[in-house]
Amino acid sequence: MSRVRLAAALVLLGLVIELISLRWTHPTAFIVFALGTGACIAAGVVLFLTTLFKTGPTR
Amino acid sequence: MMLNVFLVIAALGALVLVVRPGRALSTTGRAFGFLVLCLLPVTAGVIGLGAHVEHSKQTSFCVSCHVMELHGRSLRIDDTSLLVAAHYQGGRIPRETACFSCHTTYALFGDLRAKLGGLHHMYVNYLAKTPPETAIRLYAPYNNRECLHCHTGTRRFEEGKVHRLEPGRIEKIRSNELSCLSSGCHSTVHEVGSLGDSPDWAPPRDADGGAR
Repeated sequence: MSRVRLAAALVLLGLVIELISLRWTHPTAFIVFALGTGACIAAGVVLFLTTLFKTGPTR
Repeated sequence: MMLNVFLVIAALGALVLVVRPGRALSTTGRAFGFLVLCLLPVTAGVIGLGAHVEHSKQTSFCVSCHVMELHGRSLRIDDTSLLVAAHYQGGRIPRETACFSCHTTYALFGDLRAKLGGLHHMYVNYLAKTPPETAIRLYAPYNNRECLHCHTGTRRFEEGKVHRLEPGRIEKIRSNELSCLSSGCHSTVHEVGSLGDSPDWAPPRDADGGAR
């Protein structure tokens, strides 16, 4: 359960970074988006999917 | 605006699972978890990337780095003998996307190539040694294709006396054999090394304060 929470927190952080970066027209905003949002969302998605596979099917 | 709403909805979904992570592991909750922690964020990321690419076409984006300040000034300076000032102030190119209008490649994947070039600029700006602004040069000689994207078919270009000075000259211009910029005809472009303290141009204002 804590892995899902961590995955959700990472995705949330990624989305917040994206929201902030989109309000700023500067090359740094793109770097922040690419590194921050990209890394957080990718990590969140991978963590969630691995958690799903590890817990197996539910009835 | 729509993107912001979408991002807020996706973030609220993720927030639900931060507070109640158990929901994502129940039978019905897995679909919700997959939606909130896979589909929505990945979609948000792709849309966000598109929005950032659009932002990167803006003039304010290009001249926001210190190394591009003089190039930005050359657009606004009160000297229409500069090609860029004449284009920018004369409304010949969209002011919001002035840099991109002339520095993209009007060919297949031209926008993509321009964006990859932009990534290289960012790399140089943040991680490598930034050259002095007066030393910045194009990667390759400017192609007439970029000028002719707009000027082909216009009266001023097609009927221009200099463009038809001798037979075959306009064909040479069209085929990029005779450069618009480096042949000595339109060679004062940004001239960042000689801008000096020249003031910026401002539209004349009427007595009521509005621009004419």
